[in-house]
Amino acid sequence: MVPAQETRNPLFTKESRTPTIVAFSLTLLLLVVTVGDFMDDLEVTAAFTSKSPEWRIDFDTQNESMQVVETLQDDETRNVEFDLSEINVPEGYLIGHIEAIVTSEEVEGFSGQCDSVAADIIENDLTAQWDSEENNLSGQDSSCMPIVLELVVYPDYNGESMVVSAINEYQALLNWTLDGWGDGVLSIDLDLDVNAPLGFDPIGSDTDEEITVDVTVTMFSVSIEKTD
Amino acid sequence: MVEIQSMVPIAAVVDLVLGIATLSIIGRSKIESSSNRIAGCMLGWILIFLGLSYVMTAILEFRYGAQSEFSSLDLNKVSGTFAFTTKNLLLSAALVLMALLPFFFPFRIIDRGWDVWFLIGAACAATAFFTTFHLLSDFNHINLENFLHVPGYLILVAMYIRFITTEVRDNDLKLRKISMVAGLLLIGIHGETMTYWLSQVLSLNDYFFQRQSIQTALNPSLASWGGVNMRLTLGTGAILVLCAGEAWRTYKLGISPFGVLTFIIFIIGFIAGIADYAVMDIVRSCYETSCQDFPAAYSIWYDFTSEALVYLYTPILFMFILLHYDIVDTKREENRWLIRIIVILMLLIVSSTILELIQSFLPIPDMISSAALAIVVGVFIGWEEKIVSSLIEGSASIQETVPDFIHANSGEQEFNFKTFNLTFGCITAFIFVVSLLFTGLGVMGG
Repeated sequence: MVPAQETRNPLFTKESRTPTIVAFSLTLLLLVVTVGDFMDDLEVTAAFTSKSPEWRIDFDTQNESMQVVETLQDDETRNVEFDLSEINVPEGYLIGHIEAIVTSEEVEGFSGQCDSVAADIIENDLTAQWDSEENNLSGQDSSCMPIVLELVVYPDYNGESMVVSAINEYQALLNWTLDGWGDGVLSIDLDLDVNAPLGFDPIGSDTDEEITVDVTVTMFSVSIEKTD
Repeated sequence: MVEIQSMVPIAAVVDLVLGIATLSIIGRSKIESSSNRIAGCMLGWILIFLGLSYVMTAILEFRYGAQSEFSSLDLNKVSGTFAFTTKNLLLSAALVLMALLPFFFPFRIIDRGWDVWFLIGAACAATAFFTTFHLLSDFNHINLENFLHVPGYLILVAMYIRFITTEVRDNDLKLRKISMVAGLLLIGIHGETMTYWLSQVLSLNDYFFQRQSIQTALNPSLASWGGVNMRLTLGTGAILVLCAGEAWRTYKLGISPFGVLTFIIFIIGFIAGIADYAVMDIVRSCYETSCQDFPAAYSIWYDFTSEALVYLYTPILFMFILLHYDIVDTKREENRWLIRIIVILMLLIVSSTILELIQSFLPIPDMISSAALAIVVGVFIGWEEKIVSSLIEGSASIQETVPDFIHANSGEQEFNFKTFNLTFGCITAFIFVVSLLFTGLGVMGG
């Protein structure tokens, strides 16, 4: 009863032996090939995730300037605007910082009496770091000195080189490739309060002042270098 | 990004209902052979372990949210929690039982009087070992237990080939039941990994795990990677063997429903492989640049294939095995009403879940989906008798189907149902208590 004995084994028969061995061999071959790949990737991943090299980031800067000259009357407040879309931002550059210098025409002379000038950068839709501690959004002067106003546009930008830790170059640069900062209009309010020489101006000859606003937009591009 | 709702709570309910009902029916039935009762108890406890594990996963998803990518949990958030620890340990216990199942069903391979004690002893020892090992190693070597699937895979593949070749040679259709159940068990155990077969053949899966590792900043151990790769390879081997076997059988004897199921999984794996290849730039982005999200279509595909196969279709597949192979006594009138309730309940739950899933990404108004659900309910109620009968019809135990493969005195010693359940109940309690203790002590997740 050979067939009866053959059918009793639930795992093998003579004719199933060859395909079964082929199936097992193919499974083993697949296992060997994929284990090889897995092992390689395991090493690469472990090396990749275990160390975070340091990268030095340097900023190359370019400046673009705009100027407005306004004549203000005594006790007048005037708003001046600078449309940043008019600036030509070179390829690969981003706007980092805006500086506005407000200068009055009057020079401190014999009378020793300068007009009082105030300037404020007005918070609006301009995309910038309005809450940055580096900002200087208001200034006032009555000593014929220029007023310097500052606005940080790009997050954490201060123009100084830095060293960051990241697993690859892309991620090290991730914070320095964001678009959209510096879109909008820079709005500055100017305010004038005329002070007559020695406090006496019977014919009203000193009633206005020419005020110049120079805006310098600092743009940056980044370069990166592995430090270790 | 499309918000796909999680299937885990549904899977938890379905698995627990089916598992408890199976144990309940087997407990009441005295006439079933001990082999059937062992197989039924194993399937019942596998479903309960999986169900409880899914309950824990659902709790974690509810509390911490699931990530859009493969619906996975954020390990940095959930690690060290009671639910996470319990989930992993319950899953580990289910895997141990799944690995032991081919030794007892469809045939008792060891075929000695002590094989039940081997089952209980091996399950206890393996569960205790993996529980302790995972707790002490903080789950760094999770998936190590996948290596336990190797013997079961060898048994089921050999059995499938052995019976399909004999069936085709002798044109003996009753042998089909054995090759089919071997194939169904392979799908039940390796179903998810079968859907990644082309990616495994092309060796793409390692990139996905590399991505996951970089994203979570967690380095899996060599044992963990090896376990994952082993399971993927076994799933790939299984579907290729099944597909070759079914293609040959179809050519010789004609198409069969199991053949259709196999070809569907094969095609899903093929499409998934192409999709994986198409998103390889996104997969590699974690390494080369920064991690980009997968397209919504890719996530939807994954949810409807691999995830649905694991969470929704596997319990139905186990239910089919339980009924079609007479593991639970389907002939008894007292059991019939419970079987009918379970069958209809499961089909309805799964159908409504699929409808909800479709609704989550297609702009179908609620009224239309409600109407569709009403149609499904109507069909199931109207054809309830027919559906249940077709499942039970032609059901026969392995012993009845191929008596010449069972020794006359083979392992028919009294099977102590209570001891079996008590043991696995204790394993469940052990897992809960140990997880509670370890997480309470703050040992985990450090």
